[in-house]
Amino acid sequence: MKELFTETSQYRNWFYSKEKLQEIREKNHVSAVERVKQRVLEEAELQKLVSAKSTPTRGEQPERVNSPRLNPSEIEYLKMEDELALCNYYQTQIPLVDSKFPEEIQKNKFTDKVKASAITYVKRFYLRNTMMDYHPRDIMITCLFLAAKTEFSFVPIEDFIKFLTTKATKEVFFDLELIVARSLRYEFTVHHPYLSAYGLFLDMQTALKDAKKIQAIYEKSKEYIHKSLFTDTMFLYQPSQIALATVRIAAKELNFDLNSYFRIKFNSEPKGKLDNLYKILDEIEKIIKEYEPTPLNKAKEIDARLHKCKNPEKNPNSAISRKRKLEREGLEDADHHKKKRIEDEYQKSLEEVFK
Amino acid sequence: MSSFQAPEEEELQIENKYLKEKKIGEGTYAKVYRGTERATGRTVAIKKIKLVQTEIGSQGIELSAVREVKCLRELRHPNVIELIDIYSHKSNLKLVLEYLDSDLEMIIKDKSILFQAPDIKSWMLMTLRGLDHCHRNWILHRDMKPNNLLVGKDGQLKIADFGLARDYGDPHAKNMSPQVVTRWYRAPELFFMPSQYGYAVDIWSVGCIFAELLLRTPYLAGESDLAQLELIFKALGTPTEEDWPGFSELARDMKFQKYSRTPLQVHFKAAGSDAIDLLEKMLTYDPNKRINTREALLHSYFRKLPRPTPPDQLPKQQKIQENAIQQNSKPSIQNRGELTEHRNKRKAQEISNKSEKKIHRS
Repeated sequence: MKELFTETSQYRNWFYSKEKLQEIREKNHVSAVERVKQRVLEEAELQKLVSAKSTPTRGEQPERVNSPRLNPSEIEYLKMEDELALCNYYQTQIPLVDSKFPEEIQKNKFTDKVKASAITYVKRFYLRNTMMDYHPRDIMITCLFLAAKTEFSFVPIEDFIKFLTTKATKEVFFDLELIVARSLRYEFTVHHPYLSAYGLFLDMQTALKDAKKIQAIYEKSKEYIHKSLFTDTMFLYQPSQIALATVRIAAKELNFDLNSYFRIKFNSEPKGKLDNLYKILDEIEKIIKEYEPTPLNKAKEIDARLHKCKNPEKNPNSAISRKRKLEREGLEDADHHKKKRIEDEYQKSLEEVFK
Repeated sequence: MSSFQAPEEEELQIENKYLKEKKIGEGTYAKVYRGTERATGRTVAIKKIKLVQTEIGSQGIELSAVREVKCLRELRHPNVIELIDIYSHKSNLKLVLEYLDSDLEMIIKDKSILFQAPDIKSWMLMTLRGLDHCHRNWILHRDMKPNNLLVGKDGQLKIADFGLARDYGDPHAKNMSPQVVTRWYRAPELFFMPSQYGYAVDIWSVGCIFAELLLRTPYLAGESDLAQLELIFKALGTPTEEDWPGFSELARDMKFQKYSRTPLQVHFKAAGSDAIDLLEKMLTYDPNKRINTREALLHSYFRKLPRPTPPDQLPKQQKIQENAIQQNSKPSIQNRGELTEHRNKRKAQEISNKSEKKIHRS
């Protein structure tokens, strides 16, 4: 039988080597900067045109979306490292955002699984998108809203708007929800290390004696799993491997010798396979231990720069998005006619039934 | 590689792969169209998810759609409907699914079709294989019924409609809604409002489907929830504490008449002893003792003669293949008549389904 993990979408589409992950991020970043640059230039051209044509009256004129003092060619775009750091900052906000909700929602709705999925969605989203298009604060909230749905812990959007001080309307979040869903390729299932760790916990109880210590190890391992969510481990290792690594870290910290357990579990495995497993566990341990969250002041500094290099196309008040809107409306007219014809035919076929 | 393609571009490409042709149905949360994959000419079903207004206003992507997409994205099996593609157009989500023009309910109801023990075995085998794949991937279907078992031209049976499905396997799962599964196929434990239950609910439904194939009429067709439970007890005997440990605790506020158990053989005269044994194991009261998909697939019923009919030789509905019309482009008058008839049947079906479908949550 095939290993179950290889059948999951997580393995098929969201599982990479370190090199591949780096390559994806670089290519995504280069093409994003290229695209945003073009839009900024286009916006500048359009703005020039508009101000040349009409006598500006208030409200009619497109908003100047980028600081007017900035010449398009002087704009400094975010670096890949900036985006990664800011992305990390907003991921770490998810557990904090959660605490703004009433206790009942926190406890029953925002489970570890929901938060872990939301964090994963944010990470996956920015593998294929840029913050210059979509600000991470809104994306973070959207991901939490979507994750609550996909993990069967639905929380109405009105609650998000009420408890989180956000200017965005629910329509904004619904639009973003589709954009996020699309970027995730509608693959909502995420396998986290929590369930594997729980399995290990049960298994260790049957294999080893010290029940109290094992409970403590399990609790501690969950803290490391929380931490691992902010790292790249989910793209690089299987959830069961991450779980095992966190249990090992926890055991070491509590001065518990896991060797006897490893011997019981893995001694029948061939040596090469076992060496490889230990190598993987060491790698995961290193990533988790070296992880440092992005500090607030750094996030603020990047965020300030981000505001100067946003894609004008995503601002509904920019000249470029007004132009796009007109173009779209033309296409929609044709689309509407086709739709009406199909609906008419269907209604006619319904009438036939009752003849 | 596709990883470097911007999501919008990728999606536009997907959208352009298909041609939407004709509306073929409308349900509570979706409109279904027939369409064609331009490159291959393959017929597909395009399910357009409506933006449903709930009592608390719109909540973005419809919950049933989220469930269906979440499950189908993980499942790939010959006996589970294939979700070929997904795209969104403006604020609508569209699922591109395999197109199958028949289902087990239509076959059971069509009295012009004769089928025999090997045919039933074949449908049961395909149903259980598909369900086993779902369960192996930690997915509960929660709406198994003949109407959701689609049958293709090649005779392959495919489990469809994952709008009520959810993943399971989390030991801490709670708040699972007991308001699932169409009543006639609903396992007895679900009537006691549990907040947690398991794969056994799907098995019970398959047992009811098995019985329906044998009888050619729904086995336990209750008119209300209470009547349903009564009907189950009448058919299989009111459970004792021994049949179902914990039953008296569950039923402590309710009074049930004590029916004694009649052997299934009495009611299912034509069925062989292996078939009866498997049916009995599927319709076991205690969810913990009810057979699972793995064990069912290994049951002697599938090992002993007669062999299951190969899918392509299974009895089918005698009706015009809509595809053939397309290719000939000029259907004869006779064909047209048959087509309308088929459509009418389908329509009647949808109307009856609609009235049955309830609004479900979590």
